Amino acid sequence: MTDARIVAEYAARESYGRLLAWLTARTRDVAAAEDALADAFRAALEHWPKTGAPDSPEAWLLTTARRKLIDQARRARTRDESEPTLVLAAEEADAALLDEREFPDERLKLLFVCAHPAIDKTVRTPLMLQTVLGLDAARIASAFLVAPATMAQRLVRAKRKIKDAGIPFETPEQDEFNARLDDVLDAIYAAYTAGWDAADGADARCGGLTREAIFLARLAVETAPNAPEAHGLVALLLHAEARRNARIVDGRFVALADQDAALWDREMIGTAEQALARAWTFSTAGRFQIEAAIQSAHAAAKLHDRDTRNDILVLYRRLIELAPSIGARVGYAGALAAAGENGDALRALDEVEQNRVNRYQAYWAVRAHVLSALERPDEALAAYTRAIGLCEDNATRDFLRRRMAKLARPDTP
Amino acid sequence: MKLLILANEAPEDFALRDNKKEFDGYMGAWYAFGAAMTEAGVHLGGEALEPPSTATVVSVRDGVRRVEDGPYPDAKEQLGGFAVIDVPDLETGAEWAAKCPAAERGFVDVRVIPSLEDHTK
Repeated sequence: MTDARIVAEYAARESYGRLLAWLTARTRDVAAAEDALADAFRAALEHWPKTGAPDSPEAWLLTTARRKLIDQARRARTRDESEPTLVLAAEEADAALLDEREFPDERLKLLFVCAHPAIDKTVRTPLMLQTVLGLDAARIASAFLVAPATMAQRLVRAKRKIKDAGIPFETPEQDEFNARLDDVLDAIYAAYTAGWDAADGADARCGGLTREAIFLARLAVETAPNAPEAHGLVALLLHAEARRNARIVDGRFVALADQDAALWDREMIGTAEQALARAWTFSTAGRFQIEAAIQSAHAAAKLHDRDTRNDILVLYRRLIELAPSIGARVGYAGALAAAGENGDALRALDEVEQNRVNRYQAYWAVRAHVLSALERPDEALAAYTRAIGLCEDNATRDFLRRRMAKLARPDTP
Repeated sequence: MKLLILANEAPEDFALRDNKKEFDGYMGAWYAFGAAMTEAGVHLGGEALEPPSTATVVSVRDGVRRVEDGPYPDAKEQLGGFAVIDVPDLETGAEWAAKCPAAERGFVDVRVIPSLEDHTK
């Protein structure tokens, strides 16, 4: 009985996106497919403990969900003869495919639908998390700091748009593939930075939905293996995730430069490096590849005791050319400070529009650090105060307080 | 839009107010939170509140006054302070609420203050 439950749950995690993508590809109706799939999972939890799990849980779930969809369609038809929701004949033809217990992976198409230009940018990531990973609206809402009811409403509206606007369930043609894939990757990246103002490179952040983002990025690589930026995104996210255990030690936040590399996940860093090497083989630079290269240089500095500060500066300059985000510009200032160029670092920070950093903690933390190095303690103190006021946890507040304390007493460790 | 941020502090956080060693860090976090909101130009006002043990609960039933020791309701987390902020939307309000020092161990209510236009609509 427990085994059947485990099989059902495993099938749920592993197959949810594949099943939903397949169903949606045939109905163009995300909400109806979700309902049918949810019914199928409920039926599985009811039947499998009694009858034992079927040989092919996915095929069982798919057949059951399909039957629900066809029932729905029949009911809809009796209500409204003129609007066939489903092409039943096509559905029956697909049955042959099911017998082979294999069905095509349509998840890349689903990713493209979620990140379609007609879908509002703010709902693309939530839509992916819900359709591909099966996350519930409440969990997604929390990650994005939105009330659950509001998030649920946005998701419903987006699904209605997909259906009503007839957003095609297809992989874009070659000429627009790369641009459209960038939208997909941006939305995946947003899962990683969910709920945070902006990304400050690949450090400091361990909230959000990092693991979900890694799953989606790997899916992008699996389904679009010739897209260098997809490999770059995987590399970036894995580098960040590999440092998770070194970032907070005994409840204390540890800055990248002070982290104990023994706490890094070396295997994951190896996988990240492979992904980055694969990306470079395409010889087409992109923002995620550059960001991953920056993280790779940070890792190399510690692991191979190399001075990579200048490499990092060069990479940041290239990143700003490609994608001049606030996060990149603050990261550049941090890299300048690390290289001892504090005057240039302050100028780089001064150039950032102040109304865009009102809630951006990393900006104030870097600014405080730079001002303190320039021996301007009063301004440094004010910047530290703002940085502390923008923290969301006590570990980071304490970290900044310890740094601030050094302003008054420079000899304290 | 104007929002009221209600900081409901956990008992552990209230206890920091009487802890000599932790007091500076506790007050520093609140001071910094206020400063960050002020510098961002969103802070319209706010106050810290004395601990719930000083609260008094007053009601009038059938014309009879009733006074009890607070706080009401008798929950684990209690109101420790409040702020009024002016932000473009609820999401921005929630972002500020997440930065409130009460958020990590207690919780923060974000309430909408109706504007005059809402009433005349």
